[in-house]
Amino acid sequence: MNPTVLLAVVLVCGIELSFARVITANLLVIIVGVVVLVYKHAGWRTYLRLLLVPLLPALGVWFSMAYFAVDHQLHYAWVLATRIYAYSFLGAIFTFSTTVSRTLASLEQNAHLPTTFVYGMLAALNFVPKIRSEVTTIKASAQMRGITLHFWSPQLMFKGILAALKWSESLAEAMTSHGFAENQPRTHYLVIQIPKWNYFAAILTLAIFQIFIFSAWP
Amino acid sequence: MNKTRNNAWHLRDVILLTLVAILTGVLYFGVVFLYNALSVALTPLGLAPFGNDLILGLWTLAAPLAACLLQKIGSATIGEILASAVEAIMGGQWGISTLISGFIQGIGSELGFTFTAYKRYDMVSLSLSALTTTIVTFTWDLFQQGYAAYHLWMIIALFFTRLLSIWLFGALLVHAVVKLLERSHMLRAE
Amino acid sequence: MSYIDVTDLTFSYVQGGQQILQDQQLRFDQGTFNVLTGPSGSGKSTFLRLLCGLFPQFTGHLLAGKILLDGQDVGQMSVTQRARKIALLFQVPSEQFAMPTPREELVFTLENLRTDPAEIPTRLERVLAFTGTTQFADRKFTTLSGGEQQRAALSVILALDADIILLDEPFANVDPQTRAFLLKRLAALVSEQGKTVIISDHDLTDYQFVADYLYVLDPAKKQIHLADPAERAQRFKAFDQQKHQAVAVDLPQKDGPVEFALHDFATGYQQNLLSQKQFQLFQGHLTVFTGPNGVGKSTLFNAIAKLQGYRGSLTWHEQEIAKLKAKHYNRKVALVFQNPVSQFMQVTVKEELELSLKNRLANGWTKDQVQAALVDLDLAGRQEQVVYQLSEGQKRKLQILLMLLLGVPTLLLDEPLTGLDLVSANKIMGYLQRAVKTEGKTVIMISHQLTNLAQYADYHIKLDHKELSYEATL
Repeated sequence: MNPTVLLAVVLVCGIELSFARVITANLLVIIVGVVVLVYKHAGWRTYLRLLLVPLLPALGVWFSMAYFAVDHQLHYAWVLATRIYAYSFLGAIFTFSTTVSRTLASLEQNAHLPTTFVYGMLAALNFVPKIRSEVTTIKASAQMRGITLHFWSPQLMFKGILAALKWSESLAEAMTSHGFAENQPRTHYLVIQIPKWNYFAAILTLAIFQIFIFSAWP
Repeated sequence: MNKTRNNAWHLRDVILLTLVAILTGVLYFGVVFLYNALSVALTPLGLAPFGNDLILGLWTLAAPLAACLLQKIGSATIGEILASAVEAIMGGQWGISTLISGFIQGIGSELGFTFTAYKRYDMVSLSLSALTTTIVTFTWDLFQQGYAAYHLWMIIALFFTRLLSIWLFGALLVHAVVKLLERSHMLRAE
Repeated sequence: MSYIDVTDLTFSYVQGGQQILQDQQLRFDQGTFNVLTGPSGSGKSTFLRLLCGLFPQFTGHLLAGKILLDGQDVGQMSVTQRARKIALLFQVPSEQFAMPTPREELVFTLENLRTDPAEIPTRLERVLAFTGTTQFADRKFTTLSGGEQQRAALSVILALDADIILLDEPFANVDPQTRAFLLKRLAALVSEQGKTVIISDHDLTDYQFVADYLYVLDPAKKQIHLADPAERAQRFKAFDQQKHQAVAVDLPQKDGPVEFALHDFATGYQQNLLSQKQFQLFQGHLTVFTGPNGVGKSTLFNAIAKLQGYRGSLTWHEQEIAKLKAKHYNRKVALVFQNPVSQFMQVTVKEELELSLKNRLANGWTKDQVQAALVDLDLAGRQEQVVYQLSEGQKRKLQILLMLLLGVPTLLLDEPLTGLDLVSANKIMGYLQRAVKTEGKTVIMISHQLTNLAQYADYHIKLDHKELSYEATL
């Protein structure tokens, strides 16, 4: 499915879930998620991660609801706990169906997101390893001067931003030098289209989802 | 660059905010463990939401930081959306809901600067922004996290915990960082 | 009129601030190989960015003058027009790519130029082959060496098919083989395709026979001039001599106290940059560490300073470094970073000095010693100045002073003489020598600049072909 269409569907479902109090809708999302993962041949680690990572927040919210809700609404406790799982699977459905660069390319070509944002983000994302080593350097450099920086130390963020300022300048210059002009038309080597069936599938999915959301089911 | 405020988003701005978002992610990744430990301790007591609200300020500081760095209309909102996109891409715990809450947090923070007409980026507007962030995100969580179902005392306690956290990180820490940047004259030269 | 015409050019970073270039007149002919030299930080990069229109688009103010490329005013050209006409290869290899791999960067570039997608594959293969980039075209930039990244960068420039190719200190992180290869390729582009090349470099080694013209930036005059034959000969000769003025130095006695020891040691981000069966560095001496660019000298320092991992064994006073706590270890063994800014933690000179004084170890300097050194190094009276706004030389001197006054027993210095004039360099070497001789410190320094170093150094180690060895000359 086209990443932009999929993202739209996933976001609409996510927002609706936030307001709904329907356990079955949450379970539906989880089941669809599992089906997608099986179809995409996800490894056992993925299932384990999807099971464990939301466990703590889900338990947390369940217990507080059970203890401190005005009339100890157990149903609502289950809604919130399963919702956290539903969100995780919603995310998994998306990440297992596409890649970051394909999503951004689709947002550029199909959703007409300004190219400045698309390529600015893409370029910066390549700097993750550099940023990690910069943070290591900042901390080590502080140690050498006899100070220990903690996550609340302004110097840590300050020195990091100084590096980010320099890099943003260099990258923007380099991209301009490589012919990138802000929000000007470009050609596309990989053309991403939205096939007609995508629209039908999206509408159908959302329609079925509405039945669950607005049903009288628990 | 000239004196009139320039609200156009340039390549350099987008790169800068994305880099700062990644930086925030890298710096505070370790805090996730702290959060988990806190949650484990608080869960059996039914107080896990306090753990969440106590460190929420760390996840919302991208917005006021972006506002101060670029001083454009919308920079808080876009900054926080970029940050949440980065967080989702780098494998945050909450996936798709990160994007949605990023938008809510961004709008919340933005209001603080809107109310001061985008004229000041000092402790006053940062504190105001912390307050609006708290109000907006808290309202959202009344539904999304089911806070509305709690007893009144718990709702009030959660609200002030969140306000404290957002003020400490989003106003006090951000202000300290921005002051260092201003004193070093490293923000974009006129 | 010639191909590139610079008239009355005056540029400044800050309105009303110091001017970088003043009333510059210059011309370059088509199909020539030009080299621009001058001290580090004197404005060579600025000039190249002005030529290709990045300045004042991104930074600074063009106070007067204009630049014509083939008769067209750079200021009037669109970004795409500029990219097709004049391309710039940047100094820091890893900060010039928007995409994760060379192939994707090339596609990105060709898309920017609105190239017909059907043409992209053939153009891509052609430029990859010309620069020898094909075999790593799909590897991530983060896994490529500096030399490989600059090859990829040259591919991008060829894909742009610009007439004028600018290169800003392109070989600072490039190994000698790649440097020679790239220089040959550039010379071919000039002679066979009529491209115009302008390359800035403070190191003139190997340019003598490829350069048609040598230009010199004089920071005092804030102007660039064409070197006449006499100046040209003298400047090239200076670099020939620097290479060969080796003086005898001692080889270490193998029974002295050992500071660091390597056993079956290997390090490097991707490939092993260094793999060493056995090596020892000695305590209480000043050791100079040399070797070609991009062979892993800084990487070894990073491993010693606990900034990156290693395989095998690396010990400090017979303790495995990987097992030591950074908090304590880094107070005993500290790195003086290649980039002075990395050392700074505060905003003003005064705050930086106070921080170092506050945290100095038992044998650190006294306030009076610091004051005397400030005067000696020409840093006095700058207490309130912002460290980031000091000149490159001042930053460097302050950085070294901050680390010396702490009284750290072992200092690793990565290119501490870069950006210093000869007088300052000698003073700094004097301080380092005193730290070793009178305070019993251990100093190991990476340096490219070797002038006069033999008179201060005890030992000389060299890293080449992935191995370390002690040398009898320096």
